[in-house]
Amino acid sequence: MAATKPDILITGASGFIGGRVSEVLCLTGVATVRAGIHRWTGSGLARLARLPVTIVPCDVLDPAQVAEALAGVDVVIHCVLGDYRTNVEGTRHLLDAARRQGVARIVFLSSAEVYRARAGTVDETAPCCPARHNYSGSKTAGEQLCWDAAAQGLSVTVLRPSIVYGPFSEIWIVRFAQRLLSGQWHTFRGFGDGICNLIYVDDLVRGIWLAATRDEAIGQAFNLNGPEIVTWNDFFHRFNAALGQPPLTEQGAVSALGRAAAMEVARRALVAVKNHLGEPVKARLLGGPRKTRLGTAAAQAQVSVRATPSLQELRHLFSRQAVFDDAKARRLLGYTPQYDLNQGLALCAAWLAHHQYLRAFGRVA
Amino acid sequence: MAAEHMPPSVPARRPAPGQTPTLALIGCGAFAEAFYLPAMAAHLPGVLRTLILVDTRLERARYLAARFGAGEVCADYHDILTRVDGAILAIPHAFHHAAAITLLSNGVHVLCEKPLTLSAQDAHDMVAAADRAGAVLAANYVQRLFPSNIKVREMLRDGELGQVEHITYDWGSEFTWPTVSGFYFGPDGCRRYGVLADRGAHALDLICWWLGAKPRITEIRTDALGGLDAVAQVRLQHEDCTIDIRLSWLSKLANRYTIRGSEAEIENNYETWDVLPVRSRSGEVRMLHFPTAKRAYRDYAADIVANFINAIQTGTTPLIPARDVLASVELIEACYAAAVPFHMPWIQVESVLDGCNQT
Repeated sequence: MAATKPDILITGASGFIGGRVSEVLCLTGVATVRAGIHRWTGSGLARLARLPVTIVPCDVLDPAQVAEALAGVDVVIHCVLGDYRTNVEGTRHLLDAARRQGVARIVFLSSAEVYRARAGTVDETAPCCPARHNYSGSKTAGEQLCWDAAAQGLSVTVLRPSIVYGPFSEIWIVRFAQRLLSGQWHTFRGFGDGICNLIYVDDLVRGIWLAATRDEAIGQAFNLNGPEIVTWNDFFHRFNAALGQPPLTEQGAVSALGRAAAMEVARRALVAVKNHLGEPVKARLLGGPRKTRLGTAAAQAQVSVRATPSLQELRHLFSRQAVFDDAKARRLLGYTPQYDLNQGLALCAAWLAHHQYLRAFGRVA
Repeated sequence: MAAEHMPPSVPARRPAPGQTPTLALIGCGAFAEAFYLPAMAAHLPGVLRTLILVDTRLERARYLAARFGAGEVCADYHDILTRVDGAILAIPHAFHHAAAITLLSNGVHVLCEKPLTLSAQDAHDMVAAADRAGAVLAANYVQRLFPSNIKVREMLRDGELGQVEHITYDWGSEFTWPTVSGFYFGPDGCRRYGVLADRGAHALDLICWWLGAKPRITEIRTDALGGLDAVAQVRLQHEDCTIDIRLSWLSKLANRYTIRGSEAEIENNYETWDVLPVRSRSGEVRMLHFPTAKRAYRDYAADIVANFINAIQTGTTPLIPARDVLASVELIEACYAAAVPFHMPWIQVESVLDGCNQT
């Protein structure tokens, strides 16, 4: 890597993680940031454009675009998240171009999901799941491409963060805020005691920067986790408190399962309406901005479905007893997460209020 | 631009009586595709047949011409200055001024997309160039054509709400405009201007138009971090009336306006043009209805183009003369000049990489 400020391409820069990496590297001035996007629209792009960064088209499925985006780049931070083909073929295009164009370092954002449902303390020596056509499989396949590229001389680092939360996280912050503010969410006896392995996005950015700049990172995979081990029920309690909501009540196991099963039926019905009816039929049945009675009922059902955990969440995600151990990153890279859960959630709550999510979700409820 | 520095002006064209003016549509981006061309295809096929589509990306112009049946295509508007009576400017707003001055100075009438410009001086130049040529300079601020918004203006003018105390206008949703060129986000001089220039052009223009005055700025905050603004919050004051405007490209907002007067108040969705609920102080709600067949923004496009053509043919004032939007152009420029950042603790980056550097 050049001794001076490196030129860094961030792929998937309009995404939740890529967006924050762009903000930190640009605003701290440690790098010259080239922000790669795959289309000229979306709120992620609008978020990114608030920065004085160069935004370049970088659809990783388009080898010509990738090659152009990589011209003159020292380091690539590969944050693209898409379907299986995007995650695998896109990574292949990127690595091929990086090798051809002499890129000094690549940091590949994999995921702790490569370990799938493993329990106990999981470090980097644990085997990864097979490269099947799902999210975790696509990350395993992407990692394998990285190791193949490393064997051909590319300096690659693989990062396996646990659950990354923070402002702009749709899955872990916006969706759970919506659930908590619905007034229908609970803690779950018998199901919510799994470990949720949360890492605040700024701690991940810290880990990414270390991976991009420390020689010890080359050719290695690292777990990255937050500073605390908390259960899902603890997360729900603390996030709820950060949002200023009345305390959550506990739902018994039988009741939680029964409600989840009932909502599964409603969830499937809503998905069927969404996927199988044409727009004109939907507009006639449900109405547009002014809803029909059926439309109003469907909207209420949608709120209840959202505010109910799925069976999959109860039985697997919220019950999983795995801790992703990041001792290797601490030892080799000097990685130390800075944000405990309360600090991270306080920032998320402030961000949600700024964007008026709290008022909007309150009204929905 | 001082008058002596203006380019010499050719008198504006007047097509022969009964003859449909020849128009050019300059800029073949998402707006041309989603707004003007479908409307012309549905309502003004005669205009479309002779329409010249202009875009530096000639392939894009050819694609749209074939799809909608436009007359011909051209890569540079300078090549058609003597061939058209009027031009619709649907190019990035950073280029409006230069193109409009060239067109107007050559006697070509102009219908310009919003925002007219982001520089008040540029906007005044354009109006002066139109005056010198005797040409029409119309602006498409489509929300002024909504029947509900027209009624609000009449009610405020006639004092039907009593003393107006507070106005709010919230417009926010994720940025999903299918921009073809990405001009908002590229290096072509647009990057400083975001949601305030885009959605704010409508919101602040409506406020000025409703009040018949340009309010003064009390406070303006944006989330720009050296680039454009994706969220903006503006507080204005006009006499005893406080105006709060919130705009976002990042999340859904209430998407309503409220107008509270001493006698009655209005609360309406900003895109509801056929109904206006008015609540009296006693709590009684009167629903004013404005029957219309219009269902989408583009349904107004045919009216705007037809009115532009009529203004060219008859020399009458268009529905929205550019002169009428100068107040909001001045206000938006002043807002950008006065903008300060929101307090956003989650943006702070100072400590994120602390201790990470080896040397």
